[in-house]
Amino acid sequence: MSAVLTKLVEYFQFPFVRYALIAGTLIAFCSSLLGVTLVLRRFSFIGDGLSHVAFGAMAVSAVVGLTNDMPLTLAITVICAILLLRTGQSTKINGDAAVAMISVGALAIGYLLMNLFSKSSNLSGDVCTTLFGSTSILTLSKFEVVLCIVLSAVVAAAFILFYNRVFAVTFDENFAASAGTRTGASNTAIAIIVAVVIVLAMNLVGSLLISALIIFPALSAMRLFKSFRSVTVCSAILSVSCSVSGILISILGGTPVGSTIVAVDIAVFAMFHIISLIKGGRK
Amino acid sequence: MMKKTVCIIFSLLFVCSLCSCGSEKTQPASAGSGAEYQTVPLSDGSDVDLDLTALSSTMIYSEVYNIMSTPGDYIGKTIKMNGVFATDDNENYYFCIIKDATACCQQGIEFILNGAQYPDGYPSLGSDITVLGTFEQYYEGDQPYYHLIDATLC
Repeated sequence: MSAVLTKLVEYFQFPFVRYALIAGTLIAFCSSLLGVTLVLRRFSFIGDGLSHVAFGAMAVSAVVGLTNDMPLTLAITVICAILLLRTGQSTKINGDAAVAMISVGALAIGYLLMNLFSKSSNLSGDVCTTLFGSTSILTLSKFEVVLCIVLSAVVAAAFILFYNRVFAVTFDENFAASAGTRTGASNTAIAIIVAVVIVLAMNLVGSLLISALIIFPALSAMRLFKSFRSVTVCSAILSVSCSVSGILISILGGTPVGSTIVAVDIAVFAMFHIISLIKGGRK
Repeated sequence: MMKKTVCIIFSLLFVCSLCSCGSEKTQPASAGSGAEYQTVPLSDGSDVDLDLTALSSTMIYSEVYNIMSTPGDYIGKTIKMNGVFATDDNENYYFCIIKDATACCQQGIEFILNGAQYPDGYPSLGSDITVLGTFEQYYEGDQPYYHLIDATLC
């Protein structure tokens, strides 16, 4: 045990480990805030869809030759998030079909563009890094960490400020609209926040594993808690704990960061599920 | 509303405190580099500035990435690393290659063995090696490259 602690202390001397823990904590916190809303609204897979859109946008950035792909990726992902969350209900192609269409379409086009036009000498590595995160979270620059902190602060502030609206729209959009809540604006705000979180989370777990970061903490919390507030708080605590544990296990054991975090999320979900079964059996 | 404002203020204070966690107060980077990373000596009292062999595979990959991203910070440092031996197609350049944990990405650092002429003194292609050398910059035309010089196999 002391050997592990000694190793951790040594690793903490590396700035990139500290950066990874800061960014990982914030990303996990933000994704858990939205996770509850998205799961309750049956939009669990929108994270997956939007992350594929972000992958496509990153491919376009790479082909165009942008050194900083964040602005373009964020813009395209926000537009698609608004299209899916706000207009998805009223169009001919709605719900899961729209998410699936955009998801696979963006993934295919992104990979095609990278294959045809990429100047990178390590195409498979670039694709793999984007899809599975690889060590992206451990290779963040100081600028990226600061950007992550600023965006996370915006997401957290927006969630706290519009908590009542988010709550109302999550449970009954029609009732919220009839009660005078501007549901359109609320949906747009949620869509923008979701897109920001997705783009941030791609650094942590990669685009294929983002859904896990969004849904597992929320589902675990729902095993034991029933109110929206308690589920959100528990989800945030679980998400941050799993993310930090996953990063530490990963750097100590030499395992892939993203999949290690998701594995910890799965283990916690299983644990909470068993606890809920035991509690249910006692009643 | 007051409650929310207090929550937001606490959130902002929290993220501000995280900003300070990332600041570095340790040794400065190499003169003129202006880069933000620093080497962290992990040697066991030997003359190795950066011992990558003591790190996990995830840490090695991340640190090598940082070396190649901000090479100015590492010039003149003695680096020890292990990986797989490889050469370029023309067998003019020799590399110690390391893979990331997902095994899809790999990167390497070029090295020149002290007093050896390929293939004499060099390991066989694909074999696991531990190499120790001094990180230096060199130019081919206007393009800067980086390698370990005076390298030895451990």
